[in-house]
Amino acid sequence: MSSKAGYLKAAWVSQHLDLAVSLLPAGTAAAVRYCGKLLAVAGAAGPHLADDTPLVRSYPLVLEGNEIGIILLKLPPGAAETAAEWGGFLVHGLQGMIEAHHARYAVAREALESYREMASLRRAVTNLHDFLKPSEVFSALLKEFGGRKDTADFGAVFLSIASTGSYDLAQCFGDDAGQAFLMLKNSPLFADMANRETGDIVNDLLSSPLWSGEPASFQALLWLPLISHNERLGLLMLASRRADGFSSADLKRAQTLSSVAIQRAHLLESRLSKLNLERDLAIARDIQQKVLPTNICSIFGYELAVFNQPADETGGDIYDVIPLSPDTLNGPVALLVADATGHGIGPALSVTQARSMVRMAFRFDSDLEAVITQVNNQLRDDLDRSRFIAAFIGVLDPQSHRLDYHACGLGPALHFHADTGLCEQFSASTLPLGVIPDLQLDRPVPMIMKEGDIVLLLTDGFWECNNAAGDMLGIGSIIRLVTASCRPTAAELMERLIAETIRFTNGSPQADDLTAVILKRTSPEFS
Amino acid sequence: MIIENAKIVIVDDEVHIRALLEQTLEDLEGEPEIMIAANGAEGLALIERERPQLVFLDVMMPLMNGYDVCAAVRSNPELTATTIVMLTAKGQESDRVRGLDVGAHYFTTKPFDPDEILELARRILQTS
Repeated sequence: MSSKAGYLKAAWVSQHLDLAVSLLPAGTAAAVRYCGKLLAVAGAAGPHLADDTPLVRSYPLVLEGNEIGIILLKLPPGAAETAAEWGGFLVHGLQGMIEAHHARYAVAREALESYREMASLRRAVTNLHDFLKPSEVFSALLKEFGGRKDTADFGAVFLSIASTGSYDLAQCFGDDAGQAFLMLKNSPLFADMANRETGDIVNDLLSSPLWSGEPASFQALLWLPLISHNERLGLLMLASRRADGFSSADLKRAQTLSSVAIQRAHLLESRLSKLNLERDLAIARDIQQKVLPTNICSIFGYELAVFNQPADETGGDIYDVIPLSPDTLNGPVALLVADATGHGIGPALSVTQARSMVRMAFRFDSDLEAVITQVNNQLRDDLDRSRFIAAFIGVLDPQSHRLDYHACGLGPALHFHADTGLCEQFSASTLPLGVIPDLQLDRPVPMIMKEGDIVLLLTDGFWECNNAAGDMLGIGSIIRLVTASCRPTAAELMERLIAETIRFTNGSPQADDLTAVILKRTSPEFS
Repeated sequence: MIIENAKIVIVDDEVHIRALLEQTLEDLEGEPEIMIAANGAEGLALIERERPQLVFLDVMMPLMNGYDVCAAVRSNPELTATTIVMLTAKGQESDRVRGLDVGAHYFTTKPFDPDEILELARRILQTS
């Protein structure tokens, strides 16, 4: 417990000293010295009392073995022995009261100092949260030390350069601090500090064997490595002009604030990365959505319905409807449904790239096998070996009602025959695109569309969707949906398909992209 | 410089808040007289008797709450020189509006910052 000056108030002591002296014979004088100063006096001679004044009796004020002051009492010459005893008794009482008062104040002061430290930390932590950039957080951290008169005269944050293992002076405060810290950076002490895992203080720098003596204004140092998730971000360094500049409490405070600053900087970096990623994904989604045809061309005698719903911000599925003749109403039309492995930004880029290739290839050559070969070989060259694209690429001739196709790893395609009410499944006819060069392409028997016939080209996100119990919707459910429907339009069937998927999954998160193209022949024989 | 013989009254029913405030204000220059009351009614009586320059007044207290004490002080023409700082719990910002309505001059939230309290007290006692 400290005997810091200021625990006792002069007014309080004077009041009690006056009371004691008033109970003693006239001419009595008394004085209280406290923490080396004259705190209170009573009686005319009070201000002049000293230990060696004749007839003065002294009563030490002691707390936990430490003398914190003294009470001096002088009775008038000739005072009765009983008065002397009574005086001694009163002063002993006062002595006890002062000691108790001092102790109570000392406890209260210590409580206040702890409270003040907590309030200061709370304020500092709040200040650190006002900044939005990681670099600003370290700047704010330094300001917290620079703003405290009683802590450091100089301060700096060095940031680690991962590529070279060296440090750059990022921020500093104090008179000529930049030059001083750069000088320090070249000293053996800095090299030693930079390699340590924990912070420390060095008071009385002159006695350190690693200290080069420069800068001369530094007499004590406090340093702390700034480490986040095992990564050394930098070094916080505080310096004092006093040889006893830092205490363990200062180091603790620095550690607390640095932890908060590092955590804040880390959170900000994560947040900034997330924002950048979200922005990139939004751009990717925008690009992908723009390539999906919104105005589907009309085909005489046919209805078309399309649907695409990615599982993430960006999807690995795509569809396209490409007129192959200037007579878009009556000419042949290419149909594409493609599904890249996985979903997210990588597959989204691959599948968007594949869709452009298919369009370009059809511009130069309308032969289905030639188009698929060109696209497959290009994707084989471009894609990483772990990536490929399953695709249905077909060409509908609305005059012959013939749908030629290759199902490159995508299937089954469903063909509902209106005349029999049966649904036929067509499995993949060849490997996905991009797996091997020069795919073997034996053209499957074409689908012949009769009046009322429906073809469904779906990605596996539909029949492989799960409910909360882990059950899969299955291709059988989709076939039943198609066969049970009473001559729906393509759009109606699409709505029922989506509704069934929603009903079945019942709120379970969508695990895969959903893409569908539904083609229905509505016309009788073309004439 | 702080005015001489300044008087400060602390009115709060929480003993540790009273003790911390008292200790904080002990650091003011000129040793102002600091008086304590543990509830609103006791606080109003102390303020009316001592006519302090500065009062730290808690809001939620038994017998008489801080708003009523503040309103009573403001309605007393002999206490126009008394500045009232209300102590409000953090997050209860609506207290401020009500406090302003009844004539409080300043607000500080609990837990308070001792350095801010000292700065505020110095400012008030220099100008009052």
